[in-house]
Amino acid sequence: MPQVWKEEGSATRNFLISATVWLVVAMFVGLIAGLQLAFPDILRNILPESLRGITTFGRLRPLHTNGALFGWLLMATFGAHLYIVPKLCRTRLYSEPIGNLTLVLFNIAIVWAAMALLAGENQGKEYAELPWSLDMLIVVIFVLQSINIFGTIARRKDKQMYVSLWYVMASLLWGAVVYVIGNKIWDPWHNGAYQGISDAIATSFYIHNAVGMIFTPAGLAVAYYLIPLVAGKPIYGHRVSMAGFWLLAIGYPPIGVHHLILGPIPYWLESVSIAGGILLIFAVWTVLYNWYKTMQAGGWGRILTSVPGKFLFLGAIFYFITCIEGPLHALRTMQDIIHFTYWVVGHAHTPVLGAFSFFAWAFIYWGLPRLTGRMIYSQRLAHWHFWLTALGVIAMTMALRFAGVMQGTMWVHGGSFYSSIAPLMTYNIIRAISGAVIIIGQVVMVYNLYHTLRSAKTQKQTTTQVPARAAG
Amino acid sequence: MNRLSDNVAYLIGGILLTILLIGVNLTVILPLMDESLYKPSSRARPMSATEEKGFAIYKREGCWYCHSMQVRRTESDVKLWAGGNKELVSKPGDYVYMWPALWGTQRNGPDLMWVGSRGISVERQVEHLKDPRKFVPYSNMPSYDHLPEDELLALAEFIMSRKP
Ligand code: HEM
Ligand code: HEM
Repeated sequence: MPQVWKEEGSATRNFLISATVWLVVAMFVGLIAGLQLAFPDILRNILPESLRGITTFGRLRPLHTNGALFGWLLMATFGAHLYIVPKLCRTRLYSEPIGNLTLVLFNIAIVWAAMALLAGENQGKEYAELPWSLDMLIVVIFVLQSINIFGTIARRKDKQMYVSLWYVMASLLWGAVVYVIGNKIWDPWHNGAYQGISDAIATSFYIHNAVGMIFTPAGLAVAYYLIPLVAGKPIYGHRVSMAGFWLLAIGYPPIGVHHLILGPIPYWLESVSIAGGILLIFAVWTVLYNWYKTMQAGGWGRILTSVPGKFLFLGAIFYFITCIEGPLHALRTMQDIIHFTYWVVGHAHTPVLGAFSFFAWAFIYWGLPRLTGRMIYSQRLAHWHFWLTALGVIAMTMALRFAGVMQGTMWVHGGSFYSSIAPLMTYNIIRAISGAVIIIGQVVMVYNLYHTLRSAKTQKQTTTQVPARAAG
Repeated sequence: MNRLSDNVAYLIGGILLTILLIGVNLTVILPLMDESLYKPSSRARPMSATEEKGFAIYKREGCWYCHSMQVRRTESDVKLWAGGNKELVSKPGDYVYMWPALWGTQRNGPDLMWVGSRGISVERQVEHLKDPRKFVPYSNMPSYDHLPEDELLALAEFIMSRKP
């Protein structure tokens, strides 16, 4: 086997690099899709006839969501886990070659998925658009990643089970169950569909638990690992960590159906999903309280001057906003107004583009120097990346929320539906501008990372070094 | 010592899965077993071959990202999408012949649950698909004039079949 496959830390490094590429692609696709909502003929006027069919909003949107969620976020957090888990176990990664193989398959899956989606392969289920054959490949990726993670944990030299490890394991265990149900992978004959409205129920279970039981624990694991290291203090309370973890475990499974509130489902089912959401308020507050106390102990000056610290801090705030908003807009009175509006798109971007992507960026700036033995090329550019992204995300998500409230109230009080479309122009333009600002931020990051990786080694690689006492 | 902590890990894994499965049972399996959700409503009709073809195109082109097919029981939904008729609020039985049910995620465009009863002919629908801005000047819908004529026709047939 070639040496490059075995090199320590190579899997994580390669995961982060590929994920960054997909991030830029997916964001660009999101920008084009968003622009089309304001200027529907924008591509039509530029592109040749043959390309028009594959670039309509309906083809680009799933490319954007799948690319951003799986190509960027899942890939980046998987990569981070391959670094974090050995560190917390004080051992080496179970298998660096398996890690690299996982990544190769992952990239094949993303390229294949992109081609399938552009070609119009679409099962008609949100985030479960991909055909059965691709679902199988994704299952293989999950299994390989699990072998690596559980294999490492089984060989751990530190008997303490840090909370990050709990979240990593949970995201894999839950992820498997959620993905299998959502894509109905035991049934290749019906394009992943259950019959009638029960498909809507199963799909909404999948939609929100993909974000709640895969991306949330995966991202929280990264934040829980980094916060004590950046703060230079151990996690405030082990019991608090555990309480947050178990509340999440109990609260999330039943809430998926909240996508169908006021819709054609049994009333009790709506109520169960609303109740689960309320429980999650407590789950999130315990986690955030824990982080807050840890950051405070480390000193705000220390957190807010470092690049990873800034990303973690603002990411935590985005997480807070989403998870206060989530349970509230699941209430029937709020659903009446905001469901089907841009508000939901604002809510969706706050955690995935805000919180969890921010944690992933924090990890990139923290981990890459340690993995490669190279200093970040320019701290100034890293700060620029932070500020451009932060401003863009705040502007975009807030504009979408305003737009949503406007749409919702116009539908309730206004005359025709059509009168609510023209005023959306302003908000679509704000989304386009803020999206472009975010993308510029990513280009700055790519430039910075490129020069970091090209520079000479200046410090010792620290992959096998014992970590500072981390999460409690 | 080693054995003990390993067993604890299995135990915890088991508990985590159990909690998840309780949630799955409650919110997925139980509804899946609820027979009343599969009983066709009085207005549910199996799709014809052309409508099936149109439905496949509707899925393929991602029309469902912008159009819901779901009249909720709220006042505004009944007013805007059911002409004020509460009977036309979507019921589970309306969806039994749809694999999958395209209940919708955004309303970038109007709800299409009962679009077939708005008195528009198939020919007009095809024309609208080709050039939406001819009908609503600020419409944000893509033009589908790149689709072959037979696909446009099937799509329009499917749309028109959405009626009580
Ligand atoms: C430059 C940055 C971005 C732009 C301009 C952008 C734009 C968009 C647009 C136009 C939509 C479709 C909204 C609609 O159907 O009305 C969308 C949906 C979505 N995007 Fe993004 N996006 C960006 C970044 C991201 C990132 C980084 C992620 C995830 C990591 C993400 C995840 C999603 C998700 C999950 C949805 C579906 C939302 C829903 O169903 O409500 N986006 N985005
Ligand atoms: C306390 C936790 C949360 C609750 C109770 C909650 C609640 C909700 C509700 C009720 C909706 C549906 C809104 C509608 O369509 O009218 C929704 C949509 C969404 N949520 Fe959350 N949310 C929470 C946290 C999160 C987190 C942490 C994430 C991301 C990791 C997330 C991602 C999304 C996405 C992507 C959608 C859009 C899905 C779509 O358009 O189909 N949410 N949330």
